[in-house]
Amino acid sequence: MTNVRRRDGGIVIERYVVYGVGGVGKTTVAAALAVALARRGTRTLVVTTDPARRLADALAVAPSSEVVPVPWCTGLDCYMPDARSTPRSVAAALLQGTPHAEALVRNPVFELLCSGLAGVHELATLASLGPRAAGYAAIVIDTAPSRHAIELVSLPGRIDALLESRALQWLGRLAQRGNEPRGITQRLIDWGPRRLIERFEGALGTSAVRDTLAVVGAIASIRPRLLETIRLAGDILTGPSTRHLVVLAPRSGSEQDARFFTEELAAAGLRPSHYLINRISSEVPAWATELAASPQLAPELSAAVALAEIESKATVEAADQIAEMLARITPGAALVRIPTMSETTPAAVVTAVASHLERFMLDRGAAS
Amino acid sequence: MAIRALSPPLTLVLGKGGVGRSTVARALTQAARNAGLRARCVELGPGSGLRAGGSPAQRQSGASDGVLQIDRGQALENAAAPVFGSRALARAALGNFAVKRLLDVLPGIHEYALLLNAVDLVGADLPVPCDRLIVDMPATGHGLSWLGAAQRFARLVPKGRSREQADRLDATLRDPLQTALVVTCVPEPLVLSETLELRAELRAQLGRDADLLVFNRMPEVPPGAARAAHQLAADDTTLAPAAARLIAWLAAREEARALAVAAAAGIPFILLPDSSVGKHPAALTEMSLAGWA
Repeated sequence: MTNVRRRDGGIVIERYVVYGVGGVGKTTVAAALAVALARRGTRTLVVTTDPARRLADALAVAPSSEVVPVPWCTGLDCYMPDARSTPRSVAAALLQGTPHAEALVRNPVFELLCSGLAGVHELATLASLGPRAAGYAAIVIDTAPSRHAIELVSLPGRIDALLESRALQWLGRLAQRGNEPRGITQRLIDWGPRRLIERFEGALGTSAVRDTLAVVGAIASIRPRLLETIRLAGDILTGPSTRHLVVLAPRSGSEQDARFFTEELAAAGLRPSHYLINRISSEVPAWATELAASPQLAPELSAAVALAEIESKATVEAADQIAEMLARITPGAALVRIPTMSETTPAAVVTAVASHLERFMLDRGAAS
Repeated sequence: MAIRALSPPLTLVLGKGGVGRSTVARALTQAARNAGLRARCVELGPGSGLRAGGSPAQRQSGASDGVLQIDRGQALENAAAPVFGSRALARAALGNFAVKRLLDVLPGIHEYALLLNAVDLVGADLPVPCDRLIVDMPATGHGLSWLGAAQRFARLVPKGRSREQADRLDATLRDPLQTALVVTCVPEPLVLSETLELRAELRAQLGRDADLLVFNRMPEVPPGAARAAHQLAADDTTLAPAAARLIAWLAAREEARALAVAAAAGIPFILLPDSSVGKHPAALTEMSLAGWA
């Protein structure tokens, strides 16, 4: 079994999960953190659970379903599994050697589960990550750009609860009870479950219930394997050495996002280690300062200068407000302010943010 | 009604997380009220039971502008009741210890139930009568969106009461007279490309496009500034470099607008200004929408 918690020397592997709503630059921050870690000599794997694979753009690598090295950054590899094929290949690997592997091929419930439903791809990505994570000293996980990414955190636990409980065995046995001859005792035991199945058959029809039970039966048959895989995934996401990073935009309304992620993580017994406010335009553009000093400026230009001044102040003020709110709700949480980078290509922006994170996040982390 | 997206009894506000979807849903509700309609905003919320949201004071006074929150567990039970024959039977079946755990891990099931509930709310006997429901839908995920949930469900269930329920929902979502689809987004390249993907998905899954696109956080372009900057660049050699950078700054903003307008090709759209300039986003959005209506 691959052990991702400790390597030979008992070194704890650093793990980071990056959260944030769409458009805040979450993938950029995840990629930059991975670059910063690799530059410090930590062999790093950056993974995205986002089916859109934006990470490929951020790191200027061609999309691939296997782990690929980032050519311009020594010690950094990236993994961006394909949304369509990953759930299927993970399921195939888990079902290998069981009679269910073939029986499920044309099962519509199984097909639906593998068809890229939200949650399934993320989970399959994490499940497939276990064996690939060996040999890395740091893993950075970029989540899908949505508030719902946070549900991912609790998904392994919920599946664990299903697998561990009597529920699955019970449902699995229902799948086999069809035409078997049964004695009076068995019929009495079966009375409750039978009624339940009949109710569902009345509501959903017999074929939907049969297909669902077949999938449940298959899951029940590989329970130990699946449980191990899910726990490995759960440990990567929520294990004791995992740090949770929340990326925020410097604008009004981000306080709610910060509060949302903090509360949702708290509900899972976790807390963010860092809040990163991305793209703070801390300085009024030079052109605006220059034009403002001119004595006879056309009113249209004065308006443009005023707008640029207001906007640059607005991001700083919003960042201050977020910081103030965070100090209240999570005293002692680390806050990292990332300025707007003037670079134009995504990879150049990632490199610039990486340098910033090295100075203001990783060095401070080491000092404390 | 000037905002055509408010003509059908049901309006679904779609969009990814963080683009101001809730703000737009509330603002549309306000715009409908301003037009004399009895409108109510609906959202899928935590908590228990069908209850009015908003501040505790609003809830107590039963103010009509409270947001109607549909609890996740309740949504499922409400949707299952007609299928199982009664609420008690549905509760017994869904409440079975094993079924409960199974439902806990099933993706998309709660979103599907919310849609069924929202459709059922149209014409339902609510404590406060209303004729427009504006639903703040959960953030559009990736992959198969829950808008196609009815069709996917129909594939699993060949016949029966739940199939009829799925078909009815699908027909309601496909019908522009019954349901309006409003997509919210912001003028950032990433979000715009996802908006185009969402529109393509709507066409593929529901056979129709969005009825309205609302752009939040449009950067302002000061009128006449580009012309004045070009003038300055020509007249003043010292300030010419600064003027050139101002021209580039203005051009980038114009481009963001142009990209947004291109993403809205073929459907009506509203551009809302960037609210980072000190105003409260909700107030600003309401103001702009009211003006537009």
